[in-house]
Amino acid sequence: MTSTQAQRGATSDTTAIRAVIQVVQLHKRYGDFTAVDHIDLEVGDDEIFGILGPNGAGKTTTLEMIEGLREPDGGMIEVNGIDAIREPNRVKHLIGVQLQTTSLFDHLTVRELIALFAALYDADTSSERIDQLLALVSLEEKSDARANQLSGGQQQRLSIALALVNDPEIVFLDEPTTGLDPQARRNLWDVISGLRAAGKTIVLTTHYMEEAEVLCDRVAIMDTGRIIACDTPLRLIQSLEQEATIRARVARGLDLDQFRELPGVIDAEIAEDQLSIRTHDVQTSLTALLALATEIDLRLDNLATTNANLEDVFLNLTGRSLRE
Amino acid sequence: MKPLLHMILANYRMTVRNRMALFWNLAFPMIFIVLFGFLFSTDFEVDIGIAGADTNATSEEIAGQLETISAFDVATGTADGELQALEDGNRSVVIVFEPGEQPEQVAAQVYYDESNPQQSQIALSAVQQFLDQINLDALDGPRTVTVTTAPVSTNDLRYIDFLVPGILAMSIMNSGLIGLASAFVTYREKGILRRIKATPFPLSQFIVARIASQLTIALAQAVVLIGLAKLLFDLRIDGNLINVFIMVIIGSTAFLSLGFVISSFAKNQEAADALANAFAFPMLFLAGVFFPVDSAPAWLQPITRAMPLRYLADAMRDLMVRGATLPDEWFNILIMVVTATVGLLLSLRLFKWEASTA
Repeated sequence: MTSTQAQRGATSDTTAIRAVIQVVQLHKRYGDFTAVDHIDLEVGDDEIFGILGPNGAGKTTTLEMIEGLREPDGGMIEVNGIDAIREPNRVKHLIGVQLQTTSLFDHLTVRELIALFAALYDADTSSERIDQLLALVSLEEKSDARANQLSGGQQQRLSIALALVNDPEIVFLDEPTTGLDPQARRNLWDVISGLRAAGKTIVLTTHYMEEAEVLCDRVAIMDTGRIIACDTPLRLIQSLEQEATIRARVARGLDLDQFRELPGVIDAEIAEDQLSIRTHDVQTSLTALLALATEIDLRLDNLATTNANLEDVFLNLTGRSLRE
Repeated sequence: MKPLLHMILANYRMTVRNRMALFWNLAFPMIFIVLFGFLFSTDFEVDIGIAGADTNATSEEIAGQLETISAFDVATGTADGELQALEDGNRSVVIVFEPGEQPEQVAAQVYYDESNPQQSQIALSAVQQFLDQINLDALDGPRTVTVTTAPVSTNDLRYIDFLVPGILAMSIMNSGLIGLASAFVTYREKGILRRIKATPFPLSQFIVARIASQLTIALAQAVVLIGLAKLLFDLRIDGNLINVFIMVIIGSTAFLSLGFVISSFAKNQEAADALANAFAFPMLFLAGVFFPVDSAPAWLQPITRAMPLRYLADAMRDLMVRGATLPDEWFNILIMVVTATVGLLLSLRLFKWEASTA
């Protein structure tokens, strides 16, 4: 992880990145519903670019328009200099795609599925190549299992292997870890980091802020069809000028203002019995909070502080929580 | 070529490994053939025992006539011997001739086995019909037994010969309509079609691969079913088998394309199965698979004529057991080709890559 962190620091300082994907004023409507609302995007070479947002934000629609699966109502998409709207088939050869939900053909083994998809791209179907792909996603032991016998995490790894059969320069992963347990999620993060190390550009969508923070070099935060922020996770968090959130369980019916007036506090709120205070100076605010608690004889249960994260960025930008 | 060949190969693998589909495609029609073949083969070979055939000229004439009918297996012997054979279950009916009131007349006593009512009923009615015909002729003419008219309307076509081409047509329809419709709807429901769309592999080739594998399976069906019927029941094959196989391909294409139409309409697999069965089920009974529909009531005729399966069953039967050639079947073939073309055009217009989210 340390090398990943260092690399991320480096890219975040480089502003002149070569754009392999360029999206300008892309939009898509379904009847009265605007799924994607005139967005601009630029994805650089060899980066992991994340699109973070709640369900229904337009992440998948955006991805599928770039992949050539959906026709945009307007705008421009360029992938490696190719007009993806006019020539989707040329783009399909360059990219690898993992869709949000794909169950695969029953009755075929993992090995057969990889060989089949490789053949569909007219790519290398030799058993050495398939072994290599299996190793890349750690599915060697499952090579003769049927796809429907795999666990959720193994299925996701298989669909990543299928996204790599044509040795693409750019890989699209649509919510690759949704529905996985924490262990399987971490395994998958390692696989994805490995891909970047192998020189691939990765565009992924997620609604897990932790995933975006750990994995992505740059993150576009998307909500109701619009991109509301786009930068490195670090800069997005720094832009908040918020250091942390102090949380505690308290008695109901307290006056909020007494917390808002504490030094260093940006804002405070109480949901049921859960007090959360956002602060740009944990030490000052926490000291003052404890003093106040002693003064008014307030019991603070499960007192904890959390460093500011992308969740807070989203909350700050939209006034809503990412999980809603 | 490589992508297409791989896709075809993958389709074969999936079909062979799909036990459910294998059952419907092969075991199901095989069961029909074996079951109906054994059930009805005995009925159509009526064992007749005749005693006292030499009573006079009339009885000799009748016995001679009976022997010429291929559906009857005639044995002659003494009355006691034949009745014993009937009791042992070796005869369906026994006819005992005795001298009649006039020299040229005979009295025929017909014995049958009460414990085997179905079989003896058929034998009895066949013999009855035969004897009635003789008596009827006797009323008209001056002489009693110049019975040269065609006695009973038993066709030389045995039931099994009628059945097998029908079963073949039925299984072509089933795997085309039901097999293809539910496969494609499942692919769409599971997002497999979208996953294919994300690759450079064109839709048309995906469909071609599916059709190619289904056609091969239809041919395998034909070989197995015809082979089975030949082996077990000595199926009569008068036509050229190459023509039969060509007709299998033409018929399959027609029903595959109807399956495509259904897959475009159905929202999920259950709906596809229900819709396909709603089409297939009436055709099973009204298109002449199990029994001839030529003699069906007049009001039913337009309905059976609206069923594509009828034309396929007719063509298969003509080509297999009636010695017809493909040009003879131009009308049935035309119907199949029209069905295939209309179906394919319709389904390409209606094709959807993904299940509607609405």
